[in-house]
Amino acid sequence: MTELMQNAWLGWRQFTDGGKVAAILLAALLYLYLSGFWKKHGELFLYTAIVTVFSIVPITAVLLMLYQTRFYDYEWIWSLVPMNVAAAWGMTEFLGSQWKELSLSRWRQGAPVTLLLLAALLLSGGLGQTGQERREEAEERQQVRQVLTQVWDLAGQEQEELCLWAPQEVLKYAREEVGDARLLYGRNMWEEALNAYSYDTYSQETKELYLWMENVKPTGEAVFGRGEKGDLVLRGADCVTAAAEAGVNCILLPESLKKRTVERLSEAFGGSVQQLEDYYLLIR
Amino acid sequence: MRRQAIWQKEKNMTPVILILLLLLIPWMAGNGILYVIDRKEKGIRGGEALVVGWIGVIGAAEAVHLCAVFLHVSITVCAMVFGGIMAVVGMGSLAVCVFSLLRTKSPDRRRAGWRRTPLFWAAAAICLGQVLLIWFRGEVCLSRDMTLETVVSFLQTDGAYLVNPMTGTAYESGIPLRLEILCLPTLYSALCRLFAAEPGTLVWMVIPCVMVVCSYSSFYCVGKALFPRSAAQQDLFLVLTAVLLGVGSYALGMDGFGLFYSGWRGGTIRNAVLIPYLISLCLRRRWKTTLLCIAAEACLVWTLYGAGACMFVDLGMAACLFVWQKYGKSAGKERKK
Repeated sequence: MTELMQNAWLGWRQFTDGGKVAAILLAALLYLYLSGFWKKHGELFLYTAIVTVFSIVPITAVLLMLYQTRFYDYEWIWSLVPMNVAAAWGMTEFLGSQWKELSLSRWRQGAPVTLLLLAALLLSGGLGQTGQERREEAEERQQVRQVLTQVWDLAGQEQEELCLWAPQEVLKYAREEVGDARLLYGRNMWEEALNAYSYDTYSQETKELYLWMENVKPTGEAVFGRGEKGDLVLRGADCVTAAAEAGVNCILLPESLKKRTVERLSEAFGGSVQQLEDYYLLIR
Repeated sequence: MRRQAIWQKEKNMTPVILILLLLLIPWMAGNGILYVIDRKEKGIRGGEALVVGWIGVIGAAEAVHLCAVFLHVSITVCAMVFGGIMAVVGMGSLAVCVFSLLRTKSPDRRRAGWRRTPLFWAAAAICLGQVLLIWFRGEVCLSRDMTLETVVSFLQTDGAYLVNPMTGTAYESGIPLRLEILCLPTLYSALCRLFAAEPGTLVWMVIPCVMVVCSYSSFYCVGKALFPRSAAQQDLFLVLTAVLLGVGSYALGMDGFGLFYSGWRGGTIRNAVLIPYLISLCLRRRWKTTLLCIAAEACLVWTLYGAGACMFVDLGMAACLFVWQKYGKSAGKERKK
């Protein structure tokens, strides 16, 4: 319950960080109330006002979160609020009153108000903030596509069915891009929310293989952990052997590893090495 | 080549044709359904028919999906059955459309429904711009989503949930039943099979483009319910909604964000299409038809045993109407006295 309360409190702050359309909704509700237009559709006004307040106040927000099941995060309770409907209704009534039944003869009063309203709307949105992130993701996806094409062209000639183990940035897109790809672990290894879609869980050994692989790129080391007392130590040779035992027959290793280390790992894996643009490809 | 990479972009016109078909067939089906369930209004309906038609598509998809999951029918067979249902309903509805058109005797009355203010065309232009933006920008939000992996798995194995979409290996412990019954992966797989479409294009581009149009149709219904006597206000409402969707596309959970970056998801279809349409139904006091929205949501989204957002909005609106009619209006009359 404490966790849900925390989610409700932090959720509201995050929800209003990127943009302020929620503020536009509140302003629209206030305008509808003060102008008396709310009486035209009292039920819609009452419903929107009540559910908006319920979504903002953490205690009632928790109740709504429980109703929509714990599967969803805080932001999804705003599905219950007809935000666009109420905000657009309020703005339509406001502009209608400024233009007097939307007649063009009232343009001296209507046009500046309309422009100001549009400006306020544009300033309330998060213009392009998340667009940059998604552009970067699209570029990353494009690069991974090229890597996967190379892997499937090279390894596909030697193996009937490929089971791939690779860094997160490759595995992230592998199942979307290649239908018959089998992976040692998928996106749900690091996006824990995706585990809600299945009862399957990963073994501790598989989680350790993930830790080892993600440590290779930044450090360029084939050993994970410093070996101090009680620390987890994962050696590259042990990891590739464990992966082979788990059915992996194709490994992509980051280029940050030294070539001699990769050759040693390949021997432990029992396969051959090929150099790709940013990765070493080990095929068994 | 033994291994065919599925990402290779289609260079034909299939996606464009698919968008047109996914608008035209549900629209025709919607007219047929509305002809049966709502006989008060005569003639061909525009936006409302498209939304109701898509609810019908979801119903048909759910039927074949349950066959795939519980009777282990292959996706190919499901696709053929689904295609057959849509063809029959579409043809039947076409006959209904022609019949309705012929029954609308006065040519002036026939044309009246198509006359709109310039604001309507402004909203249509914004809608078209947003469709083109989805089409050419090709940016998607995949947080907590595995629809494409699921569709690819369905097509690869020709069955529903035979392998874990995350890894491509067989399930060890299975998946929750409430997730298993949701029909969208089968719908998208069936469409891919029927039209030989590439899954990435269908899920990330075609469906979001169709959903943008469906969403505007829903908001159009709301506008008509809010301002029944003023076409100008209806159209202004639509323009402002379009602007709000655009500027509100900054965060997960916002309707605009869902529509432009993850229009294929059940949650987005619910928020941007079903709930606005449901509100328009509540405003028009068509309570029985709201059951369609509640049922459609249960087929699309993980709900509290069927009690989802649509049911909440429906009951909330009904309760508020009761309170408003009992206390609000009478208080207003007393004040006037």
